[in-house]
Amino acid sequence: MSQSSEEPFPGYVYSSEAAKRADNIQSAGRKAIFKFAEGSLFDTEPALVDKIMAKNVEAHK
Amino acid sequence: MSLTDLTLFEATKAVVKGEVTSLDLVESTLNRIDAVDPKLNAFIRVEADTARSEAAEIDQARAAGKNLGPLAGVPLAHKDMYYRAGGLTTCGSKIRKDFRPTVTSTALARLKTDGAVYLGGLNMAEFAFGPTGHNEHFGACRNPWDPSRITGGSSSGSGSATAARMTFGALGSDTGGSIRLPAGLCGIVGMKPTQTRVSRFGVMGLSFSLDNVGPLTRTVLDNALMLASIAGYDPEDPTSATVPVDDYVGAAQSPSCNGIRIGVARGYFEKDADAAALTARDEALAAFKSAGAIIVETDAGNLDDVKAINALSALTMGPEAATLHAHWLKTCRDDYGAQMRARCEPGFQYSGVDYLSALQLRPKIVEEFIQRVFSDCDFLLAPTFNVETPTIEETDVLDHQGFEAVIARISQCTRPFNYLTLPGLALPTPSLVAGMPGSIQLVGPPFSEARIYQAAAAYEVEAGYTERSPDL
Repeated sequence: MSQSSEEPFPGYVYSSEAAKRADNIQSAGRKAIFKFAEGSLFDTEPALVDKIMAKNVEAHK
Repeated sequence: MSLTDLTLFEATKAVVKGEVTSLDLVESTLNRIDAVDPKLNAFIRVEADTARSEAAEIDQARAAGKNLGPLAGVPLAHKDMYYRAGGLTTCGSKIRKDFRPTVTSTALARLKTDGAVYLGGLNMAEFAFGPTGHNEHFGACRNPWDPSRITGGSSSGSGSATAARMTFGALGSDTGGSIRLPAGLCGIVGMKPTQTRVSRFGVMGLSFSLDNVGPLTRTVLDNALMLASIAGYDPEDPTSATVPVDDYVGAAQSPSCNGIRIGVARGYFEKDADAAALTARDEALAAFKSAGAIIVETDAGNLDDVKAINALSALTMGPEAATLHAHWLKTCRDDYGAQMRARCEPGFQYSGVDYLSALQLRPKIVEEFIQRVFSDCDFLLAPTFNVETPTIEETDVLDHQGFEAVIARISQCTRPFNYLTLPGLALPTPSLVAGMPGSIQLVGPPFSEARIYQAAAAYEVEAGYTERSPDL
């Protein structure tokens, strides 16, 4: 059974207002991704942020 | 002078010296709660028996000549989302009103090891998802400077109770401003540490990529004492940072701003700001300058950049919060408050690719921001909030049309720094603004908490805010 965007899991239906809010946030998010990504997201991963943070400990002593 | 007027540092020193007992502190605090909390609704639960029992243990240890910890005998209450094995932890919700966890959070365990006494659970936004201090289940928490006005959230009780001297300090949590906002709006000091600086084991989660644990206190030194207790790697939370913990207390006891470059964050942080908030910010800048700091301009407030960072933050938080709440939304949807439910639901709809893109971009954005901004200054200074403190009534918007704008407006200045991982310390401004506290946040590079405390301690002397207290 396929789920519609108004039914995140079987038996749960949420409001059209929630769908509208989600569309707005996702649309803004996609613009932000486009703004910062400058092409491919190869060669990165979320956990690299720890390395960036730690690197700055020495740099800003 | 009441014992509750002592700072946390003064109180623990008095216990160590034998000038007061921990039980004295507990009884004074309980009397203060009886007198004041009916006006403020800061406590969800006072655990008087636990507090008396733990205080007696501290007093016995002192009598036996044992070494006492750096927080010896001081009663502390916390946002009601820190687990204590077997104890109630409501998370500000109806769903968890009877929840008794089987583990104790590392933060609470470390505070206890250092001698702190557990006083009870503090009011908060339901599941820490709200910046105003409203709670549909436990009632709104009220600001001690004017009980008709909001405390800020989500650590509403932590801000209100600490400012009203019902506790010597409190833990809060911060996913988009939830420590800094109530600290700012209630006129106290609140630290959102660097992401991963403090273990989140045994702490109710909201968005694991953005959640932070930190203290709210009346002074910078008190704040340093609490963070020193809870910071550091914890094997129970493998995401906690292994970076060594600096000497926060030593830094706070060596105030200095000499030659420190403070960068003013304008643009986004000034957008639609009330004039009074910017006047308060400018007073704070003058106090830093008097303390020896050099004020410089930065482009940290580039409007398009910060708005884009906020959009990525929302993409990150939505699916993480929705995932945590999916089961209960399925099984007991009506037990949620209207605003909590309305804020959670959109998270189900974002695409997985967009969510992961927001996280994959984070290292690059954080690195670029740090290099661009902190090459020109040591710390950023921005308002913690840039609106007149709203009333509880005018922000009681539940899920009504436009509620997102009310939320976004209040948390405008704090949200960006969670995605950026950066530590930020909310500090009161020198003067009250129409009888209410103003606040600025001092934001530094990752793991710069000690240097922030050192500069903030020098500012505190100039700003003089520790001399005032709300009239209750």
